[in-house]
Amino acid sequence: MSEAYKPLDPVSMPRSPGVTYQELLDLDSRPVPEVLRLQSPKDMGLQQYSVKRYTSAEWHDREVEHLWKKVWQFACREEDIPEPGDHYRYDIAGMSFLVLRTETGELKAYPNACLHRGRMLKEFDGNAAELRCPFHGFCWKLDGQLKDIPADWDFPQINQDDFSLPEIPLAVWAGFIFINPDQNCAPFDDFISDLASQFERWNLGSLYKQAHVAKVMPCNWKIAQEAFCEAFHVNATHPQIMRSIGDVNSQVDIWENCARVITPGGTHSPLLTDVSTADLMRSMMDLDFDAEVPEVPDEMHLRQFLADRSRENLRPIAGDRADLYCDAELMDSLDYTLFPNFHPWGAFNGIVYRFRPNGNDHRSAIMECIMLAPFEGERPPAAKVHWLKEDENWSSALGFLGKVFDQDSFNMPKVQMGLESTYMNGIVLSGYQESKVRWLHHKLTEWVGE
Amino acid sequence: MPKIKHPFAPEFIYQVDDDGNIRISNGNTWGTFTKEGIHLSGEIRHADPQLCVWVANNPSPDGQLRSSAVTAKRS
Ligand code: FES
Ligand SMILES: [Fe+2]
Repeated sequence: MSEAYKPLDPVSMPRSPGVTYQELLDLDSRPVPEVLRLQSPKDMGLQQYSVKRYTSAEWHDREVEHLWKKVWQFACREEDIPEPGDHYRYDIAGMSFLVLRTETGELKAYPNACLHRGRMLKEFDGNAAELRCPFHGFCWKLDGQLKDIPADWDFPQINQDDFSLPEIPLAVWAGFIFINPDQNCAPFDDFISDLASQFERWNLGSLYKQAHVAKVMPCNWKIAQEAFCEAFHVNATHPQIMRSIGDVNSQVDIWENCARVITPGGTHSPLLTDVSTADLMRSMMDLDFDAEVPEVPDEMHLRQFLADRSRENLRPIAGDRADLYCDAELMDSLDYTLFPNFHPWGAFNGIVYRFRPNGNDHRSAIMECIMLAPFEGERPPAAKVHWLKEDENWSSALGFLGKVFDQDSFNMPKVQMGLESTYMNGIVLSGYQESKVRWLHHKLTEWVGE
Repeated sequence: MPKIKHPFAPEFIYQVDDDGNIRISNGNTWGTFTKEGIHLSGEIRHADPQLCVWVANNPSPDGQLRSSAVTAKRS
């Protein structure tokens, strides 16, 4: 582990007043899995990170060279390309890649470029028996071998046995296909091991893609991503949910290649005093302040009561699996990040975020939310990407969660504008609550430089 | 129309009015604001923009791709 990550003692380190996450786990009605008992707070110093990381085209160019062209990154789900010939276009920072399934069911990834004069081979996701370039008709088999050159007498310089599409590294974890543009990259297993060991219990591969929503956001991709990497912003950005989540007593854990923030639900913010059970429930369920709410039996802890409701909501689609989860797994936000931009939630929620630059415009990002869900019987088809237009709210597709995103999105262009205008050289981050953001920047320094 | 009390200042009630703007009142005074929190009229001249964003955001139930885990019906 990097020297910059100094372990902190979770008991003696500075922390918010109020109940700790581990104390909440002690109240759970079911056995709590080991993975939630892990604590890995880190002291990574208090340094600032340059504003240029968000505002400079030069920094973006370095990011492309040293990060996006080199790093393992989530491209699509296996279920997006279930049949031989199915292909998926994955673009990153002005480059395009094609991920496909061959006749034998193997998965492969190629640069999305014809070896003749470079046209993209496929501009849409779909199914094809071969990869025929729409420009002059050069054609490759799905496994990458050259199939046909029209008027091949005119290309004496091409050795037809040696004109296959170049493959790039591809690996699968829990139904997610990762690719790496760098043919000499480090092994995927090392890259994923921190995260994979924590997700053994939550087999995201057993879920199907129920929804996939994407939108172009007018800010640097890190501004969008960092809006989801700490719960400190809740008091100002999402005041309405403070009555039902323990924002500032979230637990933050840092490992080498992944980090997480766990924010408890069904407990009120330590920044508020005197929150009634009824108000807490109204906040949780997005009800008016005078709406009727169900009675919680005296002997029952509220988190347990709300978790039971979640279990019953889950039962029709998950069957008895609903009983496998403890209260915490149903109530809390277990927000993981795998460097650099892949964010699966732990436990049952099945929420996955991804943030990336939109082409080579460093002031524009693509934000996506994927919803995975359990199913009984045959795997339902994976949802196609639903692109929101500039004036469409996240809530139009994702209800309550989307409403919360709309508040985060409301900040994003203003953070970009503020960073373009600030007289500060760097951004200021808190020591603990924002340590996942600090971890991201620390990793970026390692990959991209200062 | 949905209505909410500000957690830090519960005397202020935020509510969508008939014109689709946000009306904030504390019993004695009031103000109206756009859904981004820009002041339109009335004596109360400042709103928490994020709470305006929230109360104004009432998505159609049709077209939802997934519902929340903990749900309740709005009366
Ligand atoms: S308080 Fe965080 S950006 Fe202003
Ligand atoms: Fe947020």
